[in-house]
Amino acid sequence: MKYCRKCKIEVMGDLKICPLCQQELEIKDEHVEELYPATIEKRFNNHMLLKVFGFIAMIISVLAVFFNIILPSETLWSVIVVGVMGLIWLSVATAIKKHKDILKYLWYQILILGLAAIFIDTMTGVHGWAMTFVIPIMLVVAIIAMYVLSKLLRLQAGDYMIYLLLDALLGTIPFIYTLTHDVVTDIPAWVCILASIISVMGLAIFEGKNMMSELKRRLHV
Amino acid sequence: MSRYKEPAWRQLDNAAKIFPTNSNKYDTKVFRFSCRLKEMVQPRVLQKALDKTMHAFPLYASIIRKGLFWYYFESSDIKPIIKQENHSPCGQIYDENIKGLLFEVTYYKKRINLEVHHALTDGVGALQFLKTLVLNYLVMVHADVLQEKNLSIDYDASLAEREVDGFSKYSSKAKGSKKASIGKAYKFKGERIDEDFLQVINGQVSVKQVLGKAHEYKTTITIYLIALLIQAIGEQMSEREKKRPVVVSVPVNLRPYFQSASARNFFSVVLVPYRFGKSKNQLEDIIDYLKVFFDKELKTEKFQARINHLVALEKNYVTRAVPLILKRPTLKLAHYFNNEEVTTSFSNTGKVIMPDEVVTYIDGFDFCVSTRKIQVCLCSFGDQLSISFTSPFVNTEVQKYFFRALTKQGIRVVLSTNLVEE
Ligand SMILES: [Zn+2]
Repeated sequence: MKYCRKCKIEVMGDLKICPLCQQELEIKDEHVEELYPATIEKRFNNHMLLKVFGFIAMIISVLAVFFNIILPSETLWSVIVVGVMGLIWLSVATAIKKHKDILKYLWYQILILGLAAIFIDTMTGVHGWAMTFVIPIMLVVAIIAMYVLSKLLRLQAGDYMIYLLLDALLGTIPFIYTLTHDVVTDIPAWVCILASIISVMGLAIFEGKNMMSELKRRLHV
Repeated sequence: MSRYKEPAWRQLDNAAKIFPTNSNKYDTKVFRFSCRLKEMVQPRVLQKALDKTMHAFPLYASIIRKGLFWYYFESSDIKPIIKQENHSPCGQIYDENIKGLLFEVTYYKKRINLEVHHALTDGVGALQFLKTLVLNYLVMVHADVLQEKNLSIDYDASLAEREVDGFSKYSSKAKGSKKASIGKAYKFKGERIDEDFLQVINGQVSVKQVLGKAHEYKTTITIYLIALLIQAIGEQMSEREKKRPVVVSVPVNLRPYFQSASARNFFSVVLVPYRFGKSKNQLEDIIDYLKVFFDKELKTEKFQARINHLVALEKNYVTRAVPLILKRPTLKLAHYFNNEEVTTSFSNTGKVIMPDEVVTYIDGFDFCVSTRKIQVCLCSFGDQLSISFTSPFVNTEVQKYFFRALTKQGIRVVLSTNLVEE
């Protein structure tokens, strides 16, 4: 036990100065009781990675805009570079923030990649390849990946169901697109809508009760 | 006897709704109750005692999930594992990207800590859990003496009664009343300590000595200490800063007002504004002001009206139909404006009572809470009153003036802190 003459307060623990007034403490008795762990674990900080990455993406974007302006060019190609950099940054940020929940992570990456594909397609003159090939193939792969992951990680229905349902819901978009647009081939869209329907039916048959209860709690108002 | 069936999911109670959106690494919304034993903690036994305690508090096995419109609790089969204390008090527990329980039990030497995220329950609710845990632990360790005695915490609420959301149950359609706005309060400023370190300064005093002093001023311990706190805050304010009121937020346990035994959140907050103005601001003046103020505010009708207002707001069709993604910024804004009206918070959970047979093994209880301002938490055990200041600031002037005021009045203070010297 220590003592602060100024505050007239007894102080426990192994301190040399008073925590209130920073005066030197007197030793009252030799007995020192440790009250808190001395080595405190710093919680891990992985935002540095994101900062470094953001910095690099920023440099590339600034350079792209700069050269786009000073070099003679008829297109605004730097917009694509900036957009892609933004999306890559978003993708890395998601990887860092959401990696602890693998299905949620997968779901966010699908959204980001899908947007990236549509963005590049639109910027380079709307050829429709994003909707015809990239998005349906990606969604089918995601459905299979989610199914495999849910088995491998022994996830409970509630943990993956919502992502599978959202994925299947998105699966209708390429299908509608191929119906309303002139496309090279509609096979990927067909595969995608079939995979979506089969996965939802599978869920309904094997996990029907869980699915309803999951929807009920997710949608309660 | 019908077996109690554990629900698969529950809505968050009215008070809890604001916490998930507003808790982060800096403001964790976590509070800690600790029990200091007279002997070293045995981790293996503590784990067993925790497993046993979980059966009596099924709510504690919940995790928070996001729905389209609201957050909700879902029962999980995650087993809580005790750990040796390895981070500063009241660290982050809830992270929306990790499926984890909303509480943590840690130990260090002779101390058992329970840290709880505020969405799960309030101080009174958490204390019930810790008391049960400590009792189970002591009965296991001292089985030879205690086993036969059939000890239990005096808490005879059924599991269903503990599950009750007091806000929903006791609100009525009658007219509610909004909290009167008091405008911007005085706020502490200054350099902050490292981002994820919370400074705790704890003072142990004698209940008898403090009660004696409080009686000299013809008042209660709570009012006496709040008055000292207001004075301590005033000491370090400039004349210019004194133009704003010092507002002490005092959480009030609603269970006694409504005869509830809920193990979830059931509290209200009374904001006490004090304006320094031109008066002398002697301790007597502040105490007289507080007495009048609390007489007026601590009334069942007042709390009833407040609950009615809050629940009406929550159950309102417009509020309900807004998706969570849009509710979040609104809740953040509400939290920000609420905070602007508060200088400090003073929370007294009162006496911790344990069965006589185990009192000899216990040294005392402490209570503290995470904060971005300076907060004071109190609890007492036997004659020992534990006063904990938590703060993210480097400066400790308020704490100094407060504890010096106590010693000046002849009250013995034993200080401890988690601050370390360079
Ligand atoms: Zn001192």
